[in-house]
Amino acid sequence: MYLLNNRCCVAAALIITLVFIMVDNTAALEHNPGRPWYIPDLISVQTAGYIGYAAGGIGYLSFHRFWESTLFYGYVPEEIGGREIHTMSWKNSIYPIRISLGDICEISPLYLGATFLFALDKSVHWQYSTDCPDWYYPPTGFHGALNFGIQVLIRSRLLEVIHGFYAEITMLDTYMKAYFWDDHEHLHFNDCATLALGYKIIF
Amino acid sequence: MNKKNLNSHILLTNADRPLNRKQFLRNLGYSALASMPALLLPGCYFDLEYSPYMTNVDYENLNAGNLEKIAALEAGREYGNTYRFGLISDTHHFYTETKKVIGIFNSRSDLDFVVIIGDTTNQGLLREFNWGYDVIKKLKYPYINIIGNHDCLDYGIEIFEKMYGPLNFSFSFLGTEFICFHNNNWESSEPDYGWLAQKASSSTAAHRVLFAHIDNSGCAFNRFSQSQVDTFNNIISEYFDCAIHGHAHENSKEDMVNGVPRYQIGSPGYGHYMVVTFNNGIFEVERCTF
Repeated sequence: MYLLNNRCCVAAALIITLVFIMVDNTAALEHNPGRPWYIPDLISVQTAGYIGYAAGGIGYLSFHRFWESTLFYGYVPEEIGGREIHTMSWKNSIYPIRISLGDICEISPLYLGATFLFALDKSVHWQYSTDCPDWYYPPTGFHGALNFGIQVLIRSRLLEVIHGFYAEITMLDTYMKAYFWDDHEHLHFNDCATLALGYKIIF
Repeated sequence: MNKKNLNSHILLTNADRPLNRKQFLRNLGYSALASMPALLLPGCYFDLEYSPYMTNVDYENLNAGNLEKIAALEAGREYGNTYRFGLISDTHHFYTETKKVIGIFNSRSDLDFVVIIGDTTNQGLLREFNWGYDVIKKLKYPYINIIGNHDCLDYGIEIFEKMYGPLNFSFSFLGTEFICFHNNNWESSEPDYGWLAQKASSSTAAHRVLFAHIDNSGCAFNRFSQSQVDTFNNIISEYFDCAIHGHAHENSKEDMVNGVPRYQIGSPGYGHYMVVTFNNGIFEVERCTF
């Protein structure tokens, strides 16, 4: 049931994302009105935040960059993670506050987001023994995370693109439960959250 | 909406005025000054965690180190002497309550060691193992940890083996053989009953105690087939003085199976722990609450 619920949530979010991209593709409207809706608006790289030692992805912007959706592939080498890890992450963020600093820079002092993380490894259980009731564990090959952060966008006149730098704090669902529900007294916020740093180029 | 109107809402696309080099550098400097503290300050407070599935442990073979300390406690004592050990299980995310039990154990001076009967995590994640270790390392007594079903999730078995050591192992103390057995079948593979039978039958100790996270005589959630239950019960009744389990989260009354007592230790989260005393050839179990 957990797996079914999670799949339904992801499917619903995916449909909403596609609708958003089709209804309002900001970058395409801004920079290239003739660009088809399915061509990505940005390329992003990120380290940490649970999505990989090195993660790269493509993303879409909608509603005048108020909303952003990026699909990442993440990799952790064995030397760093104890084993080689491959993940796919789907990250959605909204930027409710944007402050202009001159005409080439814009700061989003607080953006909010949610990430769905999928382990690309069969040995991470999606389902357990057939004898195990499906309600017994949530699927561990899938995790959700919430994040908030700050982003700085700088326009490059030379390259006709926008460079974005961001830092965010991310909290995994398991750690969120531990911190908010299970033991708020012992655990500290920084025990349960991680920093992520990233760069994106909007074209 | 034409492009001009649209762009009026978008800060970075309404700069029709060309920037000279000085303005460009000035704006860049302002941007960097404004953003750098916000970008870098969190780095002082938060770690970078690349993946929840990482298995690179900071501590290795903790059980082996503690078993050496337990062995050292035998010095000057004879087989059959009285000894006492504490038991905790299913600490999961109950860190505050686990610290209370550890405080109770540390306030006593009559224990020899402590056994943790598994489930120090919820999802077998490295960070959870580290949280658990940060609490149990405060024990003043040597301790051993046995794998529980939740510890097996994700890459938990790999982490456990690196951090604590083998899943099936044994040690002896003052004439008693303690055999620690991994029987989390849903989350792993078929329990190695052959290893258990061989280990128990080859032991020359006067007494034997089994530690295994799940009491499979109870067929918890129909985990085990009747054949597995019979095999387990037969091994225990043939070789062991008693069997001690966790998993149920509440201290159980003594449950006799084929004439051998079985105990389930509760979780600190439910205010439960146990103390076992070996005295005059008998294991006396004290079910404690706090």
